[in-house]
Amino acid sequence: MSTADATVESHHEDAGKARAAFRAVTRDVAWVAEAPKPHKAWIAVLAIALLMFGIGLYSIFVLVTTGIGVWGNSNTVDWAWDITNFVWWIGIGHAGTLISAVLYLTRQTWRVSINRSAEAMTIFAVMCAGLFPLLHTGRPWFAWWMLPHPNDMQMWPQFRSPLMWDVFAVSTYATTSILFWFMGLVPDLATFRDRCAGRGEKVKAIIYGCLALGWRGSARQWHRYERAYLILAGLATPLVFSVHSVVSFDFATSQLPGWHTTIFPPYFVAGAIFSGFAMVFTLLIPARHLFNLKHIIKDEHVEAACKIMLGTGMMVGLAYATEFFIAWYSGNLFEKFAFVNRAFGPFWWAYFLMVGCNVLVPQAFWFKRVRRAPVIIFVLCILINVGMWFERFVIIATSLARTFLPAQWSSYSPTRYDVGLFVGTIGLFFTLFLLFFRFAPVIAISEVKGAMPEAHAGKKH
Amino acid sequence: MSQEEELHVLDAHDHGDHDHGAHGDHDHDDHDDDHHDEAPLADLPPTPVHGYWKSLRELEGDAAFQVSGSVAEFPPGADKPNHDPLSRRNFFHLMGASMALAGVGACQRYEKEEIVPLARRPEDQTPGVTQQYATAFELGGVGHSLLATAFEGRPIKLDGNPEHPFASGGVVTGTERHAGCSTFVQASILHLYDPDRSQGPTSDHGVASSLDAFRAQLGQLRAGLATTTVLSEATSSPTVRALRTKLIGLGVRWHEYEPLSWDNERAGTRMAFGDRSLRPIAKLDRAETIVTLDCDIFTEHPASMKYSRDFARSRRQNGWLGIGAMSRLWSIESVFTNTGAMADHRLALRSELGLPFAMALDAALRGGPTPTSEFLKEPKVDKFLKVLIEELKQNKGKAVVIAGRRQPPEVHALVARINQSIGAPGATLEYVEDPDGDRPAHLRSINDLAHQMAAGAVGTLIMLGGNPVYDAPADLNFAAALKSVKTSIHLHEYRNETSLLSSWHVPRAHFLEAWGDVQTWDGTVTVAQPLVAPLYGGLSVIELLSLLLGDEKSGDALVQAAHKDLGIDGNWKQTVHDGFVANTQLAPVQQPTVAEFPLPTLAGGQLAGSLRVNGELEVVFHQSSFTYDGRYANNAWLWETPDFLTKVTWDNYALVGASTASGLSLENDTLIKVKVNELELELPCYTIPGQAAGTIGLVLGGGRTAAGHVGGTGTRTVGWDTYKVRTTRGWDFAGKATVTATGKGYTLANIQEHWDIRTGVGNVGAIAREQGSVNAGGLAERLPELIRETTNKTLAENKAWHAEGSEGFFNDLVNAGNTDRPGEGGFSLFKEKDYQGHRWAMAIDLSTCTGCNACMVACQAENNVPVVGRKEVMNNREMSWIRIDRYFSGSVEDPQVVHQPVGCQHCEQAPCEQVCPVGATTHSDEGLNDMAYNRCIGTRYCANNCPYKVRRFNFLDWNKEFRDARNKVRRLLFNPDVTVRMRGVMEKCTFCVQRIQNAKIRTKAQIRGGQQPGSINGPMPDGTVETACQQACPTEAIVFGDLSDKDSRVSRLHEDRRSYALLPETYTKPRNRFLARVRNPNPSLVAGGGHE
Repeated sequence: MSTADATVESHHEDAGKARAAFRAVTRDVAWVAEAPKPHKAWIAVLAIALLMFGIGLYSIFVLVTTGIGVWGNSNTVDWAWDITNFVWWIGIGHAGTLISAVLYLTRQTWRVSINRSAEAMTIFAVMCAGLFPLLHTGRPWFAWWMLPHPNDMQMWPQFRSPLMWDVFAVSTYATTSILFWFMGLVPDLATFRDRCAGRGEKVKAIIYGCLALGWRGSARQWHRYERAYLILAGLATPLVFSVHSVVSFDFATSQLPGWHTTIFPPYFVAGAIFSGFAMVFTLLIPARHLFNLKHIIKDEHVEAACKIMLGTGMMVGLAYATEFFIAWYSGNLFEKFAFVNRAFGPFWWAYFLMVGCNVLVPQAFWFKRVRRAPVIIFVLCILINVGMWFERFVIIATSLARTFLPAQWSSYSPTRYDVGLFVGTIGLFFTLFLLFFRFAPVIAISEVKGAMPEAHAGKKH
Repeated sequence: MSQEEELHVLDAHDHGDHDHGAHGDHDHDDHDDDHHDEAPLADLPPTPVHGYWKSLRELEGDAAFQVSGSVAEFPPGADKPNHDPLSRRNFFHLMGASMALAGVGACQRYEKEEIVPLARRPEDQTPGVTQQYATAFELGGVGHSLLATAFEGRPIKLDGNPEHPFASGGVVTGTERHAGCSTFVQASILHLYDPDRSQGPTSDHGVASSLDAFRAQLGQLRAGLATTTVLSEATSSPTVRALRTKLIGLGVRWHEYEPLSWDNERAGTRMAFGDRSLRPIAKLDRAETIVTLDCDIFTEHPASMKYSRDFARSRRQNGWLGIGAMSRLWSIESVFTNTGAMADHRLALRSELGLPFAMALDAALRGGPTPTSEFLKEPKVDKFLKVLIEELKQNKGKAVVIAGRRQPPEVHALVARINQSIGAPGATLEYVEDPDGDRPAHLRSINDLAHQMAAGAVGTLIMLGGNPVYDAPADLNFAAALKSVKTSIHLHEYRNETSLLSSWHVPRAHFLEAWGDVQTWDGTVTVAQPLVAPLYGGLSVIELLSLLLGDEKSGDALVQAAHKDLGIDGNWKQTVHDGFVANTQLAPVQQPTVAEFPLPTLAGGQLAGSLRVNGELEVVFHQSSFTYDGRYANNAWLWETPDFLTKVTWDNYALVGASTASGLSLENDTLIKVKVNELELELPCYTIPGQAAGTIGLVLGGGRTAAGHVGGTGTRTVGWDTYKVRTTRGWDFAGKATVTATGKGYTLANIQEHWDIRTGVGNVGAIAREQGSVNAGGLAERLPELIRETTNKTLAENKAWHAEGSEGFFNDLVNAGNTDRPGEGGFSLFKEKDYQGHRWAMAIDLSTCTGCNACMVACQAENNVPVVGRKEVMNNREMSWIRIDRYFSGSVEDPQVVHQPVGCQHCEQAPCEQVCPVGATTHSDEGLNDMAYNRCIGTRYCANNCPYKVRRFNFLDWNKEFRDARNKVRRLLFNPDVTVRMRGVMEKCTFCVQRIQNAKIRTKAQIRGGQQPGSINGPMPDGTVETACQQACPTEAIVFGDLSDKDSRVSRLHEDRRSYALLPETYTKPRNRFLARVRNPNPSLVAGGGHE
């Protein structure tokens, strides 16, 4: 990076040229929302997403009115798809926070092309994730008892429980992520407002205007904005590591062989980032193609993400190997059995699906040709997401199916309502994402501009 | 460039290009303009005190603004947290949160309930306090004395009567107050409130009628008693006997039939003792060698409760209830039973080989020709027999042989002779005269009757209970024969298969609704008193017989009259109170001598070896643990209580041994076709280790078509009707059976192998294939940790032996002090509790647990445990609070079995408590792991974290059916002291906390009232609290009590060297400890027998 003075100087000189380039960015991003008719593909995908969401709503209705018994869970496998999905969705959210906060603090300018949609993904993923802990309780209408609240019974949550910690971790995460995302949106929403007003679309202008919170782009506003953004980035950064660590405590602090593992916090965080990046690119690779954003979400950006996936994928692989080693090294027969059973027991196929997708698949990212081939990356990202789902399933269900007392061993198979709710959250996620894509600035316009060479006129960037 | 400068540069870049924004070269200090523009306040003069002021600024600049001349923008203390609880800020904090959560708080779902109190207290009742009455129950012609518990007039629980001379033991002083109770007894209370019971008489094959019309019909019958035949269930009732004598005197013909009959024993003793029907009663507490020949003395024998307790006492050497030397149990049997599971030595033989085996034993002890059967020459059998003979010879006067119901009369006669040879009579065995010695045998009786009916010789048939259309031998075709009877009357609680084909059906009163009497196996006259008026009307057997005789006496009058005639009419009030007439047990027959009797020549399979080919297989009819002989088919508790050994629920099946199954390529959970005597049957196959080769065990009692909503209707049946292949020629067992696999699958609802059954422990066909598989490896490695065993010899010789001793994987942890005793080693991250008062605890003796399931049903009755049904059992959602884990060890052909009852272990460091986010499961001051159902939100984390997997979640609304109008009556059965749980909450064993509380209240009241010495906070006398499982346990294997009382039985058992905690390495410090299983093998068989 060049020095500050020089940048400011040269910026003045090329102001005219730069403005034109900046306007082009604004236009390229805004046209998606401004197009009078949405893209046909968008409508088609939205219809599918809404259908899936409908299936989810029906599954929720049946679940709440009938009981957890509509799922495949049992008295030995008390958690299965519910918590698997919860952890999976929470993990997916992590990439958004990582991209927006950690990469911001570490000055990875390539993040600006994807951070907005990654943050949106985080929020939508957390929304999907949050559904599961709520709905998996036997009496969801009492789930609010997990919140500390004044009451005449003097009852208070039990703070030794990791589920309690989850409540705080996830709600903090959701709050921070929403604030962070919305903060970043404000200048761009103001841009939308002004463009709508310029075209005479009054209703839209009023809606965007309300959301823009009176943004005028004054220097003072910009200054406060930057400060707040920095603070939120600072707040969000530890969350990248804390949320999934806390989620992993659900397992690590229990005494079940296969859960009771100190390696879980770093292992879960790496896995979360891994799956989050995979999800970001599952979404953005088709999106940048559909909406002609390839010059903003550039191939280099995709390539950088591939490298991150390669790295985190190997961390996850190391964790798998370490678990096995420790199980053997501990000499604890229940531990040993839990892991041998994982790989060679009745759920061996899930285990090898997990290893295949999470450890072997990312090895392809060693090759630059793969990192430059969006279609392949898209497929690999989907595989990684499948693998990461199975990782959680393997940890949760196979451990529970084979606990200490063999007389209580059991099996597990999901029911249509397990599948229905999962499909429903995918539907919800895509519905929200598609609406976001259509009606909000999908790319952080102001941040992209800041990262453009024109913003650093006269200097080699 | 410094970090801060760099940040500013970035800021400029990032927002310098907004279309409407000012461009980036702004002054970074601009924003500070809002502040710091006032002169420092320190320059102000002090606040005037005189009342005058010069300017506004002077007036505002009060002293608070001027503290020590500092520059302060905000009032002092503004940066510190506000501690005023009612400050504006705090008020809004709380109000905001409260308002928000008050809305959520409205989301409660309460069960609708109505409470209508009694206007006046009924006499001799205290609301809320239960009452107990002695009564009696009869099954298969054998009486059992009971203590019924009633709550405000409705019976809610049945237990054994501890005062009864046969039910209670009293071998060891101070233990009289205990009587076990079988599953059938426990569960029979469910029938009282069964809405499927018949609600009124019907005439003309199903037309609703009335009792008055029936009385009129009986009046007509009385005219033609000579053409009237009675078919009765077996009964020991002296009153029925008296009425029967009168009726026979009037020309009535009398038949008796029981599908599970002990008549072979009667016939055998008649052979042995010259036409005297003697009943052998073993004294197992005096025996050192017990040999059972195809006999399950723990669950099938008429005296099983007594035998279980006496056996258990003869097994315990030390500690509570032990009586010295340890007995050795030998079992020779075809189908694996609980007796085989408890045996020190077990020999699996086809039932038909019982005769040659008994002959060989008899010959060896008495001298005589040994049979030439092939199987006797097999090394395993030969060695077994030799060692057994040697031991019997050594233990003369201390050994006893008991033969089972299936064995033919000759075997029973031989056993009588063997017992005489080993000096059993008078020492370990008593003979009493059978009170009904002259009645015809059941099989002959039904055979004769069916032929008479078919021949049209029966004008009127009165059937007192029973269900011959369903359970009479198939070749008699009883249904067809019944059609040729003009008037048939069926008295039964249910409109069953026989009722549907009878012209009259009359509802029978439940035994808790009517007076009656029975004799227990020792002959004690025991009185049954009603606890409620018949819910659906109905007559008892004696009332019907009395009507037939023309005098309408009430039940109690009939019983009293009969007792008067018998000369046993003591103090009636005392008799009813006690439940029995004292000193009416049958007198032992002094020194009966065995006469010579002819022995049949051995033929066919009896001469063969132990392996048989298909077509030569033996079929054995086996008592059902669910329905007895089919009569309890409408009992959901029994159907859901897993079979003792197979752990299957809601089905009957064909039991196939290991080698037989692999030889015939039969798989678990497939349908097989069994062909016996040209009759065919399709049913599922269950392969069980240790069953005799060449034997197919057909479990009776399934496939009912008119049992009720639970047990089967015409369109939906539970289980398979195995009576279809049971004929008069092959009634107990039949040869020449052919088995073929149909290739169709059928999943049995097995509670212990929910997982892939083909890799299960209980499954032989697959075990061989699975040797070395993941599951098999995991099992083999961990079982010694879970089940501790030792031998009598080790215990005697190695005084340092300890169940938590040096052997074993986790013992360094154990030795670190993982006990439930305070102050002993170990440490926890959490503060450990210091108990001041009671410390409730349990000890379960694996040495004497026969796995009879009595505890499971007792718990179900006591704690309102719901039933979930076959489908949900397969989903692994059964709700039993106590379960009996069953493990096999040893070889597939000759396995050993151990039963381990597991309820909540009430850990002092309970993993469940630490993970509940709402604190719904917490620890009590007395060390109980409590469950607050109304606080539970159902995260199920506790169940995941429970290493013992004893927590049970209400996945669905299991009590939904109780809201149906037709099921309202069933709600009367609920124990009012125990909450009925709604869906979505977790539940588990509470150590019967309601019983603990009631006992505490009672004891405190007595101490306050001066009826009992002691301090109200001190320990209660040991045994004051009895859990339901403990009360039902026939072997006294479960002991409950207070650890704070050092002399309590449970304290002593916890200190016993046999005691161990399950999964000690988890540092849960369970309050329940198991006592290691002690085996007592014969040293001669240990070396080569593959035991140990």
